[in-house]
Amino acid sequence: MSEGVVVNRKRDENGTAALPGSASLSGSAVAASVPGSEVQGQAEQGQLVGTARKKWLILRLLPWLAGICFLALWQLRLFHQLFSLESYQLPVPSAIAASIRDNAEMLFRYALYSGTEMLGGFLLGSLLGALAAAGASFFPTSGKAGIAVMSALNAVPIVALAPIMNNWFGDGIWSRIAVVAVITMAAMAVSLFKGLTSIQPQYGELLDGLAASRMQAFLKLRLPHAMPSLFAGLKINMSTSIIGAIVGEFFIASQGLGYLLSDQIRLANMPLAWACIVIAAALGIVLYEAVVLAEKRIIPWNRVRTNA
Amino acid sequence: MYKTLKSGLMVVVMMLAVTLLAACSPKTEPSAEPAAASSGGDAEQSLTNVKIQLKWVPQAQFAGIYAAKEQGFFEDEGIDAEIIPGGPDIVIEQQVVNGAADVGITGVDSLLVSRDNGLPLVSLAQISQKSSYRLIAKKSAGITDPAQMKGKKVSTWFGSQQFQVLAFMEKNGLDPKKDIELVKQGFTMDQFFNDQVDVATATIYNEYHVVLESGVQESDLDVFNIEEAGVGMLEDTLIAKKDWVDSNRDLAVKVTRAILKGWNYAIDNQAETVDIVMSNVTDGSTTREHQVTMLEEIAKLIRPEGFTEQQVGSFVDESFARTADIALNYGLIKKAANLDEALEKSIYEEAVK
Repeated sequence: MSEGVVVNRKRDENGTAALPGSASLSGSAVAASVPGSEVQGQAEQGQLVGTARKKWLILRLLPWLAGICFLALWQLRLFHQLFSLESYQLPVPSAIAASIRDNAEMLFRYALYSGTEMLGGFLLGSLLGALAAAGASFFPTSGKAGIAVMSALNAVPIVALAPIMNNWFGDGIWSRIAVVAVITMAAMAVSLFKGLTSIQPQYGELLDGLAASRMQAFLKLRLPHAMPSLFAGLKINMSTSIIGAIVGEFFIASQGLGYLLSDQIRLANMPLAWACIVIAAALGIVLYEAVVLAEKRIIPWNRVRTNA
Repeated sequence: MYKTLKSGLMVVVMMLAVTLLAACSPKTEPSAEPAAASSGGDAEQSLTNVKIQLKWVPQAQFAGIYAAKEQGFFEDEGIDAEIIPGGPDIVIEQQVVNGAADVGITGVDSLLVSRDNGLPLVSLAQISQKSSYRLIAKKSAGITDPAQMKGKKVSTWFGSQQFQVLAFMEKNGLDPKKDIELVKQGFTMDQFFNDQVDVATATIYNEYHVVLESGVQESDLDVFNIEEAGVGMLEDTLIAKKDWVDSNRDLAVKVTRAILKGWNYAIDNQAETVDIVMSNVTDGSTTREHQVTMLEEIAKLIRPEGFTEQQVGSFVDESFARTADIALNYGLIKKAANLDEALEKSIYEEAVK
């Protein structure tokens, strides 16, 4: 890095940082590391693309096949045999599906309710955590201490948090949003703070040399570099916000998937309880994938390459 | 690198497999085997361990069971009683059905809906004979007549326990779905104290006195009696799994006999029994005064005016019919309850012979 050129990663679509100074070295290395497969492919294009495509298709279908296999085994009561369970302890998928069909309207309404709690808390907590991390990054030493204190919030279990939030915010939707916000705030703060402060010193030194103000350094250097950490925090938060919303509803709630789940378990109405679990899981997956999609769009240069 | 990865993976897989096998032990059989005698040669009778699952935390609501244990009524029947307290996350029916407890105390409403969902549970004796539910409102809310609850916020415990309240509303001309706002009540009376609700549900033996003990005067409250309105549902009942009863009939009779004897003792010796209860409550969870009133009130529900000692635990058909009807009418259960199957009357009859 003798020339010390700052790379604008955003412009690079390929994912490998092309450093002009060492292009001659890395370029050839890159060219050499892509073995003959590409050349080969060109020659036997039609055939290779065919089998490659088939492989790709099978790989994509495999998880679905595994899922269907699992459901089939469940329906055929393999797990009931394995763990000596009765139908009233573990309902079969057909019973769960019937329950979803019979209660579709209520489940949809409750899913929206719980989803609002999840998203609301997630956005609020992530925003607050991000602001805290951003503020702390301006004062590295005291900021670190502050973030450490905040991460103590992470240790508070949801079962302790929920009744407290109920006391503060009543029994409405805000108490659950508060629960989710508290648990997501700490995670985001820690994650983003790490991202904001883990910059290679050369970049910082360069900006200092160009007499950049702290705000300019933040906006042009720290923030772009911290985007991967931001999304990592968002992904963690999405998972915990689901747990937070559902568990929060176990305590005092009159609607929502968590409320319905805890109620139906008491009534031994297992099919509907499991229906809640299934819907909550589906909701969680959808929202998580939304975050992943957002990440792909907003920071496309950070795509992790695997050998798939 | 791959060599260590492979062996490391093997270790993890083996650990998981071992954990899985250990965790997946076959369903524990209910403990009906006699406990082994400590020394081989002595002629002392060995006691059979019976686990009794309480409906809630230790309190005078279960005084009869604690009294029975303390006074040796269980021992007289050859039983070593293990009393398991309940709590917010413990579902009595599940504990009894999966063998974690042999018998349990639960509400008849809860028993009916569990049976409706396939759980093979039966009632051995009916402990509480009248509903304990009262609807209370602060005088400042101005609800002197049930009809004035229209448009107000009413809190009650959900799950299976709200149906008496629904029936009460309908009896007084209110549509529980449209005319009142029904909200879920927690384990505390905080919502009532904080005016978050206009009307709250309270049991006469517990929450009602919690409210009075907090400084609210009886003259500050409007109280509505659900039992007197004719829509009370039966509450505490002694349940067991049908299979267990069939294979342990003698034991079931003995447990029932001991518990009912315990209750008669508790009702006739209240001061002493409160001492017994206090020695079993969680430190700091309650006061002696609260337990004294609780025992007084619950005694009136278990052995009401006109009931003989022998009638404690009996099944009053009319009350059961009413309870089952309300359960069916308001959708707690989907099929009409088969009370002949649900109530193991023979066990009670033998126990009080």
